[in-house]
Amino acid sequence: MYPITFFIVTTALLFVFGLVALTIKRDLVRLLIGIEILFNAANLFFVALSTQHVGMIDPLPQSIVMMALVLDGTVIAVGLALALNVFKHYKTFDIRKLRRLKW
Amino acid sequence: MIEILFILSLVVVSALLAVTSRNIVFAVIALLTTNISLGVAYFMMGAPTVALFQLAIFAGAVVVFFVITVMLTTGGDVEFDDDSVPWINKTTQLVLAAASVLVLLGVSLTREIAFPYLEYASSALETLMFAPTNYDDITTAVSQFLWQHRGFDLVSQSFVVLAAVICCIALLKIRRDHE
Amino acid sequence: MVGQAMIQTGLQLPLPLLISLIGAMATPFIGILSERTGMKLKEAWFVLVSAASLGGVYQLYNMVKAAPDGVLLLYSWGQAPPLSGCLEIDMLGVYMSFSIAFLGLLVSIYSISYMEHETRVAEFYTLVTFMIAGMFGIVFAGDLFTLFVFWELMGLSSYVLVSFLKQNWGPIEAGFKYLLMSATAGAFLLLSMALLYGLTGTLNFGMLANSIRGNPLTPWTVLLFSTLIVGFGVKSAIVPMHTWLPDAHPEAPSPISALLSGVVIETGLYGLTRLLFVVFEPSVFKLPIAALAVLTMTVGNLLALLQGDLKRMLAYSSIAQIGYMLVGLSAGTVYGAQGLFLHVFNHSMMKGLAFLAAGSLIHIGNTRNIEDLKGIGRAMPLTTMGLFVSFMGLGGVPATSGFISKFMLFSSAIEVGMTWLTVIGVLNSALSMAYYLRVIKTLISDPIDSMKGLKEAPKLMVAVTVVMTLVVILFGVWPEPAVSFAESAAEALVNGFNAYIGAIIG
Repeated sequence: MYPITFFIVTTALLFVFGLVALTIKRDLVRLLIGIEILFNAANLFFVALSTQHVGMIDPLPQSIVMMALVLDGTVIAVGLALALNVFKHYKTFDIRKLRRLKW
Repeated sequence: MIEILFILSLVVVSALLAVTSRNIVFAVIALLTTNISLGVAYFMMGAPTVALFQLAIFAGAVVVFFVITVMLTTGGDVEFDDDSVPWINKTTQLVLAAASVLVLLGVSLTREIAFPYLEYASSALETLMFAPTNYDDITTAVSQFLWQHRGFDLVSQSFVVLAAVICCIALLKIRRDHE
Repeated sequence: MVGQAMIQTGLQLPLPLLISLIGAMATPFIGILSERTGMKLKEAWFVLVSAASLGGVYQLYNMVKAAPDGVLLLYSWGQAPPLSGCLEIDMLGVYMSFSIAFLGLLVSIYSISYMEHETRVAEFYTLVTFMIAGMFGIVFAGDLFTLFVFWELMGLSSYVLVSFLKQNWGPIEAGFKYLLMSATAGAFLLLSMALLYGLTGTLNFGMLANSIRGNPLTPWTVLLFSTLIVGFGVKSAIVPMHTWLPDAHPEAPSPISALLSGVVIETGLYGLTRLLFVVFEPSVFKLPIAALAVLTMTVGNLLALLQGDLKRMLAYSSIAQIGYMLVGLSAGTVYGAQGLFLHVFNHSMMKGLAFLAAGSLIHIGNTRNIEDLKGIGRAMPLTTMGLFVSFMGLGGVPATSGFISKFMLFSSAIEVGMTWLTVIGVLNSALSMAYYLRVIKTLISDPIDSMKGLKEAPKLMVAVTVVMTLVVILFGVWPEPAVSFAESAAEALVNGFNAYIGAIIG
């Protein structure tokens, strides 16, 4: 329906934002937000592929994305439970304080 | 043509704000905006059931989990200010957002990135592509496909959700030792 | 209507997967029952499920041998591939599932006595069984999304099992870093799935092998290759995506460290191997994988030399062993793949033995520092003997099983003309003996004060250690069964494409 260029550029931009968030930011919740942006980018690219043939819709990518959404939601939920545990021990979400395990 | 670009630029700008905002509560609100805009984009692209799942799970459950975690622990307090990159302030955010929208609009409207769609498809490929006439057709066909052809993955996925529940129980259980 | 037809045509699942899934579902209830009655029901159930999975693997082996062309295609409710998820089991799947089930059984017996005084034990057993079920699903999968679902199952269980002893800060920190890196890899895996679907229109392995294999490289194919390497490489601990491993493996409870080092990273490597052989020709990925192999081996061995913590040293040693396995993958021949899979089984036994023996030592000695464990070998002879044999095997000394698989791996590199790879591999092997022997020397020297008067580990833990020692030595002096099994697995992977594709299309 729409040219795939739009979605390729958006996916690339979202991937860059997600990876920048994971490498530079230091708040644990922000890192989980970065992971969620990465998942959204992959799903967007997948859905864009389902509408590529002019006038036709392919149901397979849409089904896969629906199931991938559920799986990604569970991963982020477990990540948040772990972040709660981190807060209980360290009293902060700062990942720079989590450097006790070194070389 | 132009409406999908508007929604996609909203996605990109709110994702940028989610990454660069200093206050974590603003970041979670920006994430919510990203997910809702993506849901609307999926609907406009012709995937209404995917839009439903996106709005229900990602823009619903997951953002609620984020808000609960942030509020229960730091309470939305700005005491731990994420100043890892200290030169990001409001003007830089505005400039970066404008730059990303310009990149998105510029590349999409002028160039064309060709994707070799189905270039390597084998001759024995089976596909259920169809030409829909309205949204009802798409919803029916995708739901039927999901149950008629992907039932095994759906059942396995329910085991993953069960495992995730047991994970959360194992992580958050408090048991006082009975002497 | 449609639903009734689905239920009537029935669910076809291979027996190990079915037993692990149902067993894992039932474990919480058995845990509650065991608390009410006070009997050791959940331990018995856990070992029973592991033993039954191993029996199921044997039955599956017979079924696959009897199947036409050696490929067993299972799909449920009459939903036929290539549009639906399916389980396509060839001899390689049976081989990997045998490794997983065998180590799973031994670790389950060990962990009964290791986790005796912990809390939340029922959740522990449930999650271990789910992790093993996820691994079975990965090696049996015939469709890329089915693999992804079971990949997430294995991953979720392993994140929480690493951070299981949550009253200390170490496991929590290690578990969170592991989750971050692994979830990112999951996003890259989804992107590679999207690229594969866009290029070929299918996600089924058999159909993919018929479509994209043998085509020249284009920028999009190179992007596909890189996302596949990142997606599978984090879980298989390929350098530079290995940084979660030296934190996660030491901080996990010892039976979980044994499972993680022994089978989880190998299952990640299986995923990478299967995808690379299905999507690309071996000549395409020979040099990149060889470069990664050199990097992984060298970084693993060099950093292991610097460690003072026993389990952290073993974790870096696991990274180096993955490097050796990558040498076999880069060769791309049947002999190389045979060495790779034989080393998968041998490494699961040897590294599993090393982690379990180290776990016994740490359980009794109460410290993970090698210097502080000085002389504990005098008090715990059987365990230290087990550790010694595992080190001999990991270094590749003849008369242990490690020698045979390492020999195969390095000579397969010579066969394809990459002699430099063999030289680097042999040098790395020799280097690794340095840090292994240093540990043994420390353990059997004169005991310091805190190590005097200690007793041997609990009987079950010692028994498992002794059994694994015997297995390592047995397969070193009588390697024929393992070698021929690995050969049939490698044949199925490298040459079995007609059978693989024929089961889906023909």
